Amino acid sequence: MMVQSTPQTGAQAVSTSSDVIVAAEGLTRHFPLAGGASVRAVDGVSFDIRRAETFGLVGESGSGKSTVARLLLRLDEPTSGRVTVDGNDLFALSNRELRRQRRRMQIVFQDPFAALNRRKTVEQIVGLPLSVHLGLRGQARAARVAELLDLVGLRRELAGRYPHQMSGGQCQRVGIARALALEPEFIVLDEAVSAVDVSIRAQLLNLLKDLQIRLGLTYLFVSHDLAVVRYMSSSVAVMYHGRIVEMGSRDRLFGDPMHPYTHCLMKAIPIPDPDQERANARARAGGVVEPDAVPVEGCRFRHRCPLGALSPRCASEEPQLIQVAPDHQVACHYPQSPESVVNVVSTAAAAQQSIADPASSSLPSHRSRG
Amino acid sequence: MIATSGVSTKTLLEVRDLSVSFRANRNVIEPVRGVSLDLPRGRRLGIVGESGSGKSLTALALMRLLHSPARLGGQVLLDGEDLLTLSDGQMAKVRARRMSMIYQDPMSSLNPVFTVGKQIIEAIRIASDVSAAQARSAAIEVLGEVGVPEPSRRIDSYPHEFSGGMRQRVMIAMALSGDVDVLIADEPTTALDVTTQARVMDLLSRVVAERGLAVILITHDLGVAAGFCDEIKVMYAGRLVESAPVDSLYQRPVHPYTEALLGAICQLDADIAQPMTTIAGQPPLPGALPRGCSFHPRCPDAVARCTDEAPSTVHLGPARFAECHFALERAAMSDALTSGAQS
Repeated sequence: MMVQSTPQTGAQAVSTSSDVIVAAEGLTRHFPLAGGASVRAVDGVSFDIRRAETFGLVGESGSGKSTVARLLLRLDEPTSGRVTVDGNDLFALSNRELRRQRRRMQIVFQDPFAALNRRKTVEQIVGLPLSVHLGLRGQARAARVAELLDLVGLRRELAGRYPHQMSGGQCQRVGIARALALEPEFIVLDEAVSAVDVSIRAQLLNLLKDLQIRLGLTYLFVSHDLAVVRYMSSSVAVMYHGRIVEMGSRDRLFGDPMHPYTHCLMKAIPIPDPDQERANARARAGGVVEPDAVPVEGCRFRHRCPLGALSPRCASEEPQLIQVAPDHQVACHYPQSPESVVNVVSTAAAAQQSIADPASSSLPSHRSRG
Repeated sequence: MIATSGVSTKTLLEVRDLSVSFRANRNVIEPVRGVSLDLPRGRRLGIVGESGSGKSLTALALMRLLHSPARLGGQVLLDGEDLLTLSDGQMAKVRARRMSMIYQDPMSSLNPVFTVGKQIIEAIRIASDVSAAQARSAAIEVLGEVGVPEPSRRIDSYPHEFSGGMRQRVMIAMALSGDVDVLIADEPTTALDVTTQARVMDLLSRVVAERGLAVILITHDLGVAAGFCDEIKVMYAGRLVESAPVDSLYQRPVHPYTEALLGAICQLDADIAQPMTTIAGQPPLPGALPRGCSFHPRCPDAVARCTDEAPSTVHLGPARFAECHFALERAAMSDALTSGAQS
């Protein structure tokens, strides 16, 4: 039950590059449907999360980003693929080992009210992991809870409050305090700032960054908001229907986004500037199609893609992640910077008219600006 | 309060000094305090504020969807007729034919055990005296108008068979089915992700233009409001604290709260090395408003006067006002800054 401090951890870090704390390898989760079909919620996703960094995972609802988050904590079992933590396969751990591992990995959920037991006080909520994992009781536990409340910027008097007596921002801080209670190394932030107002969101983002620096935390930051992901993350993966379609360092991905879906996400961010926002709406007009059923073959994004419908290759062949720069991968047959997209569309249209044989298509295979 | 001189004939909806109050134990709390606005046909007004500012209560009060123990005060004049004096039956007709509302969460606003068609047809038949067959074809037409693909097939689907964005389109279709004049949209895209939000706002923009509706968009997101509205009112602690045409509000915010709200938005070009600009503290609760200006505990520029004396409305030009003791000085300063930057 209690955790022994056996020096067993010594051998762990050897098997993998020491700065990677959590890695997903070919992670797949299919949910079977009646009739034999299945939803490919996560389909062959691989990435590394480096220690003390924030890895951003961005995508729309249904992209599979929350399923990935759950798999990384073994809150769900994958159909195939694996997750390693410090090089150890998370799904090969015994229950006892998993319990020890859980102390190192925590999660903060989106809806602060739903994530907190409304019949418990703040002290009970934040204190529960302390009792369960560390056996703390009474004064010792109360003192540690008070420290944790200080850490997340909540007044100590709030310890006796119930969730309904607090604001959304305060509840979310309680959720963060609970996640920090066991001094974890890795925290999944699953849309942790999406349900709160702008002013509170800014406070929480500052708090999370500050805690990361002070405590050396590693974050998986899951969000549908690219601007917030950019602010928080050093590396970013963009997911679309179970696949990573673009991944790279923050500077690469935001400096030179190459996947049409990433462009689409960027254009969708509301900007507090009437001129720019109207211009964005004009740019979107007609270009953004409602997501349909995901195609079984070829590129999953092609029905919504300004390029995809034009190329037979997009319909037949699913693009794999390819390296376009040292720290930048894109899963698109025609990766493009935004300004050259228009060019490619017209080139592709011309190509389709003149060329009947898809194999001899003269479409640019890689970053043409011509 | 805004345009006290004469009633403009073009104004469709006029709200005068609207208040919402509740009796809590022996105290009376007033989460909406003296809201006045004019909404001409075709106008798109945004009411922006944080949770708890009273913006949703204002919307519900306009629709008279608040019931005892809520008490409404002031006037809500639709074409000169005070909605607050109508009988429940008359008000139900207004909601069916004149003024409708779109809610934040389409899943909990649609009945899960009836097809969307049945629900839209019900709305149509309450609004106008048509046969079941006519109502059905009108429902199919309106579903098509809001961009639901294959409306003649989808009309027989249940709400759970639609995605979040499609459900919100169904809600919009229902709101439009009575051929209304005023549409109140309360956080219509807050439950949606960014790309779906963009599509729903684009759709709303199109149908509102095509039908010439007057709209009140209630949102906490100044980004969403920027693209849609032509006038913005900022709400804080139950009061409208600033009002301006959309361009001047974003370029030259006057009230410190508006400025702070704009500053707290995380944008794609935010400086990663700097902490986000925040608004200190929490919005006040309606039962525990600070003395003086209700924003003063969070205001970076508050002085002694702000803690003692509630500011009155300062008019700064046509359709512009702010409730701040220093509104004139602040407006002059931001005007000077903008003209300086332009020259």
